[in-house]
Amino acid sequence: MKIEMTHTLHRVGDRESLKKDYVVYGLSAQDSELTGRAHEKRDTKEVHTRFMEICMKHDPVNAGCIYPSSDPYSLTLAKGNVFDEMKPRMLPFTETLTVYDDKEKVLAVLEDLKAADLGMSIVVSGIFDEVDECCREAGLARHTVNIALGIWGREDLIPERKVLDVVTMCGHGLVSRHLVKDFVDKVRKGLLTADEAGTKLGAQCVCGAFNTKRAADLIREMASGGGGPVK
Amino acid sequence: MKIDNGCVRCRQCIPYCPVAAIIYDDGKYLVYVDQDECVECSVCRNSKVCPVDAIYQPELLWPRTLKAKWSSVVYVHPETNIQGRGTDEMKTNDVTGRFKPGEIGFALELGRPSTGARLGEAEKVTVILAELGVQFEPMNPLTGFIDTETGRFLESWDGHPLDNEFRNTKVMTYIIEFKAAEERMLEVIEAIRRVSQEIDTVMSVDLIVKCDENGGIPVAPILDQEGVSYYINGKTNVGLGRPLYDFGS
Repeated sequence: MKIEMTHTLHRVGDRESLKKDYVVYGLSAQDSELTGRAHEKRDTKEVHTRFMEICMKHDPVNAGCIYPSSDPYSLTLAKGNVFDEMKPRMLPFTETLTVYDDKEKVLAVLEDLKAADLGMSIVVSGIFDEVDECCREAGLARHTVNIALGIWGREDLIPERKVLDVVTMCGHGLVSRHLVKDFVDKVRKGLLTADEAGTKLGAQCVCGAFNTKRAADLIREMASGGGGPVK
Repeated sequence: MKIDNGCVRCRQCIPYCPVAAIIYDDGKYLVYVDQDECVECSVCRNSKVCPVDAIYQPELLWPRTLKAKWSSVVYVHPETNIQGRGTDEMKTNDVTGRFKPGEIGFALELGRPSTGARLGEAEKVTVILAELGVQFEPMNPLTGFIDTETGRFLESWDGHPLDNEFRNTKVMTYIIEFKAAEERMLEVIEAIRRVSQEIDTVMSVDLIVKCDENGGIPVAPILDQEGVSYYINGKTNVGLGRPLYDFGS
């Protein structure tokens, strides 16, 4: 069992902000009718553990492991968990991902993952040309891409841009726009720091894909009046 | 979700709800969950923000069970044995070969971002897509509810009628996944653009494209030439999966 959807796509932002937002995701195919059941023979528990060990070496902003049918079902850095807690709970189909604020870290991760040859699929969410550059420098060629065409339909229903930048970092929709606005207000009043707000928002995200550092930057900007009024 | 009588009306839970379903009634001095708007995502309860633990999960009956199905991240869909709202899609394409050269994968996620969607909105879209003859993703949980020939909802599913109550059920998001031949990509995009004006929510729209052997994106020039805008960021499968699917030459 896996948590699957396009949950690290559709992250909204301008280039400067998105330059500090990359998600590296490791997963093993479970579509046995497509893979000829090849992966049932693989020790995916060990593979996911090794993946996280490599990723954690490169100073992620956030990271998460999801443990299907377990309680708790996920541990993330934003929730205050550490990798030593995540590691012993690893399951064959644990979902594993890490978030980075710097392209150079992504490059280092890809180089290590290529050398480790874990056999799991690796997906990087981030600015296409920069990820492509990382791939080339690591000696890889992009295999498949997922391109976001945007938000269509009742655009009047979506929040204003900077709030949208924050909430779209939780692709599962668990970070509330109203909480973002509440925290911006609290930061303005000195009741909360922007960094605390970023972490508290990240704690709502189940999988660990939420970039707490970028969220703090965006909240700081909104609290200081940047990006227009927060309604 | 519901709030029990132990609630102390502190209202701290209200901003945590992604769909603004927690209401404070000033006149009745009451905090309650609007059961129609609530999508059963559990964020309010999981946040542990309630100082007296007054938020609780009542037993869910059909079609309310579908709210948890498409809102909670941990629900396991029997159709896919997967938690979440979609499939592996392109994330394991290096191993599965789900999307081949010349094929374009599409995902339309209704209710995303930050809006929510009623299930009935799906049919507006799937009917148009069925007319175009797209190939709906059989492993997607929503596909099990539709007649893939017509795009209309089935009469019933697992003994439950897919009636107006079903159609009016609001969930966080759901994904319509399908693929089409590359030469029909623009036609499909145009159809999605038209139907997006008819839905009473938003949808996040994306494409999945197998890269060429040099990592190039074959359809990028077509999108650019036709003025189809897309984000500068997205997801890249870097091709490290094993065993690699044999895409041939």
